[in-house]
Amino acid sequence: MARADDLTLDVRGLETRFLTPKGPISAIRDVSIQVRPGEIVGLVGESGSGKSVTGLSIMGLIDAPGEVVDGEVLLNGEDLRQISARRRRQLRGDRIAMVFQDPMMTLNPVLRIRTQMVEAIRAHDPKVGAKEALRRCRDALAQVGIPAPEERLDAYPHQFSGGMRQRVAIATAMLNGPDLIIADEPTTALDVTIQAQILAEVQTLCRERGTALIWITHDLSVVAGLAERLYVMYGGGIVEEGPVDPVLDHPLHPYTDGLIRSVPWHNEPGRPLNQIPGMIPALDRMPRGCRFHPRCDRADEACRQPVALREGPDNRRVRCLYPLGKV
Amino acid sequence: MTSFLLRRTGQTVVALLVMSVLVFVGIFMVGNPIDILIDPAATPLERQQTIEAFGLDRPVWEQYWGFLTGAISGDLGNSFIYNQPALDLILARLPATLELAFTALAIALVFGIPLGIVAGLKPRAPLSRAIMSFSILGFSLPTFWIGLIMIMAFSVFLGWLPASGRGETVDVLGIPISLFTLDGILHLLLPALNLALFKISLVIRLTRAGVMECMQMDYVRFARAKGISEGRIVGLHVLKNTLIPLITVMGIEFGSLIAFAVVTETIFAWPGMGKLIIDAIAVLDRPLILAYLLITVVMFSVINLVVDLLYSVVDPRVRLEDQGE
Repeated sequence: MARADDLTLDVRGLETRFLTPKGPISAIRDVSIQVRPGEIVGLVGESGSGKSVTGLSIMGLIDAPGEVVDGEVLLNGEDLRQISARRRRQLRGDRIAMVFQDPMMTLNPVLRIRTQMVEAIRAHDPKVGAKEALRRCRDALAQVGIPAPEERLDAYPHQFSGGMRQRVAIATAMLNGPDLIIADEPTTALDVTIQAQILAEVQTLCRERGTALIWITHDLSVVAGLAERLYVMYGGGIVEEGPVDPVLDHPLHPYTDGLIRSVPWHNEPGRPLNQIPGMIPALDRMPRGCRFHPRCDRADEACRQPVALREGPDNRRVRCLYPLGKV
Repeated sequence: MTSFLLRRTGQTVVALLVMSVLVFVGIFMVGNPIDILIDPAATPLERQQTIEAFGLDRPVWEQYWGFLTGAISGDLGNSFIYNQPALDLILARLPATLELAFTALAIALVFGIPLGIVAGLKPRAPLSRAIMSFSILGFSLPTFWIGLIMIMAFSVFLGWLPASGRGETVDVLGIPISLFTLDGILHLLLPALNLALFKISLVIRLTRAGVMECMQMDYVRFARAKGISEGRIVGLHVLKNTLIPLITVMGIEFGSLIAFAVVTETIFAWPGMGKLIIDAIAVLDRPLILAYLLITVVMFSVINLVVDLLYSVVDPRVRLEDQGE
């Protein structure tokens, strides 16, 4: 793997805990993610696998009763967990931005789009004049395919469709030309046609500007066409990582394999759909050792002990004692 | 907008009509004002003359018709007791009551909103718990008792503030106002604070609930992800959303503020219309009661109108044309 100072984002051993009435519970544990400048990385997993918590932990946006308790989050070599709250606020929205899942909720319903976009510029550079700020907002809206951006700046969020709102959110995230954008399932709530448009626009924008992107999703078909590298999460940890095509074509981890087989396109019509037996365990009832072993047909006694990430071929890594291919 | 205002005016007129019929018939059924008004020693002839003078010998619908035709030309009849136009009597007392109510409202908002924000941002902090305890007290202790205690403490023992009356007033556009003289403000302070206490508690709770709810919203998270300062997030993003329920409730509550003023006015001998109406009801002074209630209905309509206008200013999703059905 590349050295830390060549990376836009280098997350190492991240652990986030939530205080619950039953005691502290780790929502994610030992999560390490590396993103090179301009790289598009997919973060895939089922609901509850810890994808969103990972994104929020990187941003430092975990609210009480949650807390990031361990690990490093190096953004351009600067550890976001060590710097002051003030410095963190300076970096957020400027060098690292985030887009959320539900476009109906991410924009403030009582503020005009212009207010919500201009403040993102002014928060980082108060010296920018009103005209200049508005011009940048207008350009940003035009770039994500919003017609008549000049007039739309004066509109309120409820005057936009879901897809348009998500475009506004993406345009806002892009305003200051960040080095990295974390996108937490931004197209999940949208129609497939809108999703395809937005994916294409985001891909183009990131390429043009050299912005790195972490695309969090549960939809393998989305990352297959978008991402260069892939991280697969299960039960709060990374179980497999590597370049997209090898991982999807020849998964090493039984969970990745199950996830791919669950996509209906692999199925002949009329035959029962594939599924992974069992359910993702609740966070307070995570099994010891490999967290997937109760649902895995390859597991044995050894899987009850902690399993480390192992290096595989083609820059791949897998957290499994009995991977599917050759390691 | 014009159609909205027209519809509102129409609704107000209907409310005024319905209310006047109800009150008219109601008072007619409660008792005969003559029995209370007239000296028991009066001769039957004098008694008959008084009844005829007030028009009380005619059937109720005829009396109502007489009232209605008078009302349309702006004459709500003379008070039985004072023998002066009822409307003038009420209007002479109205400024004092409104001044008291508005000051109480201002106090409630000025103290309630910041305290509510503090309590909503850190619900578990000791300060927040203290604020909430205060609001429980404000809710549960009866207004009249607090008023008496305040008089005891600030007027009797400490001697800082006057306990009764309106103090020195200044005429603004012909209306006497206490707010512009030091003496007037000193007189206003205790009764306004007394009246505001319950509302402060209400504003604290509403603001706290709104802030707690809004802070969980995705748009706050998104604002943080943009790098917006906490001050701006709370002061703009959260507060503007919190104002929406606050305006609705405070609009309704402002009406009750005027109604509650009766108690406070009585305790602090505040020369508002509360005292006037209580006396009028006791002697079945029908024109005075009617005039008071008609004015109250108009005031409520105006307050509701203002609330709706404010609402549309704060919440862009509200369009006035869609309301009022």
